[in-house]
Amino acid sequence: MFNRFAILALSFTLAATLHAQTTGTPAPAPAPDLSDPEVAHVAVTADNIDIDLAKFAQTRTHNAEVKQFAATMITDHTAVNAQASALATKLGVTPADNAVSQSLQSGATRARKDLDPLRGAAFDRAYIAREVAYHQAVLDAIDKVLIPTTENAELKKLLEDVRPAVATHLEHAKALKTRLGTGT
Amino acid sequence: MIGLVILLLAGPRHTHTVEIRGLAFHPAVLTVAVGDTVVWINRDIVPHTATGTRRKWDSGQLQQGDSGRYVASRTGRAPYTCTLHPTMTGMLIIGRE
Repeated sequence: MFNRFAILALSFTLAATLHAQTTGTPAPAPAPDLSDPEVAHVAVTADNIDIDLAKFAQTRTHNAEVKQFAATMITDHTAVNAQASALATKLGVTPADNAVSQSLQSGATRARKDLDPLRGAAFDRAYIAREVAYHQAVLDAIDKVLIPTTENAELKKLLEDVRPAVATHLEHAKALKTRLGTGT
Repeated sequence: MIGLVILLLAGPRHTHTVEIRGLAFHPAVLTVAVGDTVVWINRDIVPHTATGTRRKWDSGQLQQGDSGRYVASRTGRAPYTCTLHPTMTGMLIIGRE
C-alpha cells in the first residue's frame, strides 16, 4: 500500500510551499493523519489544479509559447493522472476528499482570483511565474520527501518516472519566464 | 532485375532506434546513412514528438509505447526536438550510403 507518511509529508510540503509563495506568510498547522483514499485524492487534486489553470490560461493568453506551454501541461498532467489513478485502482484505493485537498484547492482558487483581472503580457508573466513556483514546490517535495522515503516499489517507480516530467516543466517555465521578462 | 541491381548498388539499409525516456532522446546524437530508417520509441508516461526543427518530418504525438519513424533522405545535420517539450533536443548526422 501507499507509504502514508511520505505522501502526507509531500502534501504538507507542497501546501506549505505554495501557501508561503502565494501569501508570504507561514502555512497553517498540518492537518491530522490522512487515510489512503484521502492521500490518493491529494495526488489527483494537485494534478487537476495545474490542468484547470492551464485550461484557463489557454482562454486568456495570446502568446503562442504560453499557449503551447499550457497545452503541454494539460497533456502531461492528464497522462500522469491516468497512471496515478490506475495505480490507485490497482492498490484498491478510492480517492476521498479531505482537508489537504481542500487546502490545495483553495490555494488554486486564490491563484485564479489573482490572475483573473490580468490581461496580455501581465497575465502571461503572472501565470508563468506561478507555474515556476508550483513545479519547483512539487519537484522539491518529490526529491526531498517522497522518493527517499517511499517504500512501495510501484509508487516509487511512478514517482521516479514522473520526476523528469516535472523537472522539464520547470525548465520550460523558467525559460519562458526569462523570455517574457519583467515588464518593467 | 534492374531493381535488384539498384538495390545491390545502394547497399544495405539499417534501422536505428532512439529511445525517449526520462524526457530525453537516447542517443541524443545519432549518425546514420542516407536510406537508413530511424525509429523513435516513447518509454515515458507523457507523450512526445520527434520533429525536425526545419519541419522536414514530424512523428506526431507518440503515447507511451508508441513509435514513429523517419527515413533519412539526404546528407547533412538534421536537428530535431519534441514540440511538447522544447528543452528536449536531438541530432541526426546523415552521411552518404
